[in-house]
Amino acid sequence: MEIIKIDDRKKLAFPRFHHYNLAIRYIVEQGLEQNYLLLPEATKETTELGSKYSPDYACAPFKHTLGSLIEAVNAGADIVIETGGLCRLDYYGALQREILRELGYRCEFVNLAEYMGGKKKEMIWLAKRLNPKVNIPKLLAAVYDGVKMAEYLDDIEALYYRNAGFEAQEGSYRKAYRQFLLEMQVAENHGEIRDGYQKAKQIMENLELRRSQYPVRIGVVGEYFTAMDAHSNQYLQEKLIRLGASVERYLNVTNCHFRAKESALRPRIRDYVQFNMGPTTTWTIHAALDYAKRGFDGIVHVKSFGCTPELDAVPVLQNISRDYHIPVLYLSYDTQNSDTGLDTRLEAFYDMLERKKKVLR
Amino acid sequence: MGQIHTIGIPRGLMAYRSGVLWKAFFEELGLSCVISPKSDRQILEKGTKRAADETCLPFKLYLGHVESLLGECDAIFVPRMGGYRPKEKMCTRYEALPDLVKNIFRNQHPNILTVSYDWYDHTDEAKVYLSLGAALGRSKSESKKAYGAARKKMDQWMKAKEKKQNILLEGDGLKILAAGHPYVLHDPFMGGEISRLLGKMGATVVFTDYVNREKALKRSYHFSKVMPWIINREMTGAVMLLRERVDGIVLLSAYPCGPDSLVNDMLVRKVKEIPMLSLTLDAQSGAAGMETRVESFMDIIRYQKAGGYGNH
Repeated sequence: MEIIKIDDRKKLAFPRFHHYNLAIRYIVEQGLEQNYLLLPEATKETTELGSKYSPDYACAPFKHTLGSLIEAVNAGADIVIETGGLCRLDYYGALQREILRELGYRCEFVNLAEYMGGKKKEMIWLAKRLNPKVNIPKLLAAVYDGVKMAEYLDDIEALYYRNAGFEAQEGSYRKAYRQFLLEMQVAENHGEIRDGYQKAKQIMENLELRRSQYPVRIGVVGEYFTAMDAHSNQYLQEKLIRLGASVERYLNVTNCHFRAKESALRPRIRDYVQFNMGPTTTWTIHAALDYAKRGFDGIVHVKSFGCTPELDAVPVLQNISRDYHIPVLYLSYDTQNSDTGLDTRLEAFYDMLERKKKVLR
Repeated sequence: MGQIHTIGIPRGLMAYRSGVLWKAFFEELGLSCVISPKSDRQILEKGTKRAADETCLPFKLYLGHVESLLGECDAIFVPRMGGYRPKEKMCTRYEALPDLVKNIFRNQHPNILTVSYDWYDHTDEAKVYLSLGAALGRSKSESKKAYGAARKKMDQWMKAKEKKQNILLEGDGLKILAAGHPYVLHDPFMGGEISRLLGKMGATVVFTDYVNREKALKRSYHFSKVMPWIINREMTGAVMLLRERVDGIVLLSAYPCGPDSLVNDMLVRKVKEIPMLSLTLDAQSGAAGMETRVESFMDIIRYQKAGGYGNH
């Protein structure tokens, strides 16, 4: 077997995207056999860096990802990767490549929008571009494990936000969650991923909870990046559980890409919608309707400022809100948000939900 | 949908690009068309009341147009357009349009006539119009004939515009290219005002959407291989085709247009050899602020042409 010298490996980087960088790291290191540059938690500087070089009214995810990419190149990435998508996201890569080039960075830039056809040949070509000596069966096995890891990450996260607000011992849930993330960060094979998941799930399920009889339940819906990425939405879900709520978010990578299909979800919302309205709009409306029918107390709709597909979900959400008498808080993020402002709005929203619940009971 | 006799076409969004085709198609089928009046302050106010705050100005106007058609016709034509190819899509708002209108005007119960196509359906324009004819209860041959005649009319209209614009481009005088989405360029409330200002200052105004669409589309692939929007493709392609024949470019965009926010930035970065003014129109701005900017832009071009800035 050929032994690859550590120095031969190239450093790959991908913009920060919630906890999924851990799964991407796994695929890059175990499948492509290159180094992955795992960026630390984003800071205010990341955002500032991104917005400084972005067009004025580009959406917030553009600015966040550009900030991440610049930091990655500064940290020594050889190849940076940007994804494509079904909205403006499809043009992110082209413009970010140009911006990085004008700033004088000379890294390789891989724009996945160019490979979005999804043909097998193109995918193999892409893998060979990232590592000419790539072992395809090994890559496929790693992709499978990486997908599994993403599912586990989503599962544990969902458990955390459902229950952590009621933990008997403060910080016990957080501790188990952090330990799990750490294990995913260093996992090197299928077994380690599975063991880490099972351990975390076991610990979390055995932790003592002091749940009130009727806890306030809030559903989070919204735009793909901002709703998922905790830094972009200013740790919205964490703030909500600290107020004492149980929080659910249907929108995650597992439910978007590995499980629910758009055409399978749409029949469930046909009272409101006839056609596919945009990349994640069906998920947003489906989840909101589901929360309403399951008797949730409130819905928070999260998006970046000017996000076209999610803006188009708003009139439908307003109708759902009227029909099912469920309050919806609309949050629109750009890159200059004050933390206190958000706190005040969330507190007021939570208090209103709690009071409504008491009166109705 | 049996008893549809009059069809309302809102004078907004893609009506400025394909309206001639729509109207001709319906009229060939023996239906009469009602087109909403030209945009004005009142229509904007009606639309603004209906729309979410952040939506783009053209969409607010569109809702105003839809509202002004309520009760004036048997059905309002709101197509769902996804584009025909993966790299020639429409902005996602066009995918949502019929559902949006239905949800926003839920209490008014408007009768919406719609036809839907998407880039992943592998369809083409002729098939789409066949299904539109079927939705109106017409036979295949009737729809086919109507589409053929309508397409011909549309092509003639387009050719006449191209020809007229070519004469303008051959002529003397200061030529300014207005670049943007057709409904921004030609809506009297948005681009119409800017064209008027430019004309008043002595410029000949030419438009990016009066350029041969196929040629512009083809040319746009030199500008970008990955750009996903057909309207922005036609716009950038036309800029590429005409940039040597005009003296300046005014980029017109409506706030906050998603595709334009990225593409116009790219255009400003890539097209450097010609003076370019980027204007963003929103619901609040009066013409006064724009007038100053357009005027100084014109002054710069004139000064440069006269040999200023050490050119000659």
